[in-house]
Amino acid sequence: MPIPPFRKDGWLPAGHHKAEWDEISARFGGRGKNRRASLTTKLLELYQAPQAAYVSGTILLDVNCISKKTEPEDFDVPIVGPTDLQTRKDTEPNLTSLSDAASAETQRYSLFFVTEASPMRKVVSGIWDFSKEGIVKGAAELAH
Amino acid sequence: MIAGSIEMQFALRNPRIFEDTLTALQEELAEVNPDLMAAAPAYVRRIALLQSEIAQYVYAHISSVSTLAAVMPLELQTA
Repeated sequence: MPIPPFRKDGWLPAGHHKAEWDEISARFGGRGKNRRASLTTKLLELYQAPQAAYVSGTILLDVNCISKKTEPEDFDVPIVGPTDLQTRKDTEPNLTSLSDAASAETQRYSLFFVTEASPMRKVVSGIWDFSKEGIVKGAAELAH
Repeated sequence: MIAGSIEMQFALRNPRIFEDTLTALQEELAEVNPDLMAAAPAYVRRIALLQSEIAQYVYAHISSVSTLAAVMPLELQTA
């Protein structure tokens, strides 16, 4: 099922809408050397690295990640995964970039890791269900 | 930057959620690998940023402190 159209206020309808990478790339991928293009490349890396390491989980993408803006603002990527992801990233190179805070800051995004078993999983994911103005909004949920 | 009382309400709520999530992550990691210190800089930095923005807002709206108490989440009022 495709990601629903944006509302008139610019946000996705409330809820976490399951998405496939192909749709994300086709609808919101950038071309050339603008920030949208580099953002898409980064998202693909965040999507593929866990897959390559046989790590299952999800990442949430809100309108700061998926929009038509060629120069999107800084963005957050909440990622849900197994508890050992945080430890494996120290020994498995293809997972290292997942939590490289310095690199993330340079590329103007923040990665918020929460484990599948965390008692805070739903609560912290809920942060991205509201804009900072308190508007209820949706996000695309990408399984990896 | 926090632009008004509604944004303030969310800004007040979020650091607590991030702190609790970070604590949960540290506790989970302690079970997996007791020698590992939880490295979750995104949480730490966001908490610090929100705290800074809250402080700036309060400083700029010091005469509205009673209003802030009214919009503050209940658990923070009693904490």
